[in-house]
Amino acid sequence: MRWAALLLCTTALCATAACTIATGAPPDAAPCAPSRDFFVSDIYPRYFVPNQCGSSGCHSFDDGHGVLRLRTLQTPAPTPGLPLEAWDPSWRETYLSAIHLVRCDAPLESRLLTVPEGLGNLHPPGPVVLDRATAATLLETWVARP
Amino acid sequence: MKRLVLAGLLLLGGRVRADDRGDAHAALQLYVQPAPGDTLVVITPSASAHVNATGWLAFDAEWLADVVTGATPRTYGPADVISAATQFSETRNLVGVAAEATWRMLTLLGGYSFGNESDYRSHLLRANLKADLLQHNTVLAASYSHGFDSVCNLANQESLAVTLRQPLDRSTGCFSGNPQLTEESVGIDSAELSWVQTLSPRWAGTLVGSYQHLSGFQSNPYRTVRLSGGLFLAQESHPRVRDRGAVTARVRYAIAEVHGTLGFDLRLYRDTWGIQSLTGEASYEQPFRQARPAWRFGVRARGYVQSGAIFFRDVTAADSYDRSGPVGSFFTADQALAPLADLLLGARATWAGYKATRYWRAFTDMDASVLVNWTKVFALTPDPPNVARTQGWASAILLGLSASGRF
Repeated sequence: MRWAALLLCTTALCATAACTIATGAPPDAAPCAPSRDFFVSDIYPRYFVPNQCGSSGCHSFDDGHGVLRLRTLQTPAPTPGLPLEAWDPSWRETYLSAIHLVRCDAPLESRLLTVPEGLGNLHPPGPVVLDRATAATLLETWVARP
Repeated sequence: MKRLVLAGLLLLGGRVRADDRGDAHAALQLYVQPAPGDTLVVITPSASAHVNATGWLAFDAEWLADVVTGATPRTYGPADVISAATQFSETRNLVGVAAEATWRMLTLLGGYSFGNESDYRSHLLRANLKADLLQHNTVLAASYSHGFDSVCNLANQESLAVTLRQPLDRSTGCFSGNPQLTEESVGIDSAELSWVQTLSPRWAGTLVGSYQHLSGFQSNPYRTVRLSGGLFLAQESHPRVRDRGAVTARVRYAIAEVHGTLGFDLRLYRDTWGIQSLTGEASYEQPFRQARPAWRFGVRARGYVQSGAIFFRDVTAADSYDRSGPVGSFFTADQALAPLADLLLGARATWAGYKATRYWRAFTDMDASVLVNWTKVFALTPDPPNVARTQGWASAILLGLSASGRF
């Protein structure tokens, strides 16, 4: 019986003496934070609005789906050059929600563009982008703007 | 000696009789988390059978399904900036087979099971070796299993920093070769040693040591964490390796005067993510009618407390993910990695009958049980993930019906 007790005690010792993992260094990846002014002037009115992304049941904040959640925007819109911290929360959170789906290094591979275009069939309503050429230009311009 | 054997059988849940040809089991469980805005309902039907093919060879087969519906917040962050709960539903099926060979006091079992759901697939190989010694007064067992699982995830994530990785939105297209999706692997090795010993005519004890090594993708692909004031909203990032160990001690005391059994369990757990836990359970079971058909009832109370993972940060903490970013490379939206405690109260009633002419021309012995468990989770930090589940009168209710028959 001693060998069984020894095995169990060894297991217990291993369990209680287990070391913890190292958390490592935080990644130094910078967020993709494309032009805020261009978001207010062009991306929201020329991409989200005509493609009806913020509709109820689609990507509205209250009852939508997915990472992209668009709030009911308050007026007036942020003025050009206004720091993000000073934006109305509805605009700020909508901007932040959108930029997570943008690839600054490869704007045309941004999920903000590829998913609603129906690529890979990951968008349940199917393709909804009405004018793909304009949408692609908008995304490229957004990322390129300072 | 009769009492010694009785105590041993109580501990083992002894069910097999020498003239058994086998048994069948069916169960239905309903699990409900009633938290407003974070509701979960799981219906679990299951069936299994054990057939003694010869005096030394037996086979097992099992099937289980989980039908899950609910709504849960997918993002962990300050309450005023995270979106409402997302509705979801899914079904998991698991089928398994096993073969069991007995030679003198040794029993060797080998089995395989396959689990399938829309976004997760699992394969499990397992082997158990049991030695039944000293007229059943000592039982030693060792088991090992290896699981090789696959989790659906968005493709091309590994080339991105963890703070830029996006969550899977839904399981549509998983395991279909969709180039936008990929399969992440998870390997799970589990080993366990147990020693069951009749200690005296009234006392029996069990000591169990278990170890598990997990390697691979261990995050929930749907969950996201808000980091650095919202500049990042990334798929939760868990370490890819986890080692877990636990020691469990159980004792059972037979109260011969009323044929009752009093039980106490204690479990210590630790893992390499920094979680330590302590579980204590007391149980009591007693027949209130011994003549067939017989009735037994049982009650149990279990308390559990755990520390949090070293990379867990409550959303209200000064160094929360939203204020300070990830902890190294890691951040989580999993309530199970937060410091918490819970209390479980349960009751079970079992009916057991015997009919020489057989029930439904098939079963000689039958038993049926009904059980109810109430669980209340206590958050040990102000605002952990799924905090709604820690509020209200119950965190979870489990109702179960089961029936077994020997043929």
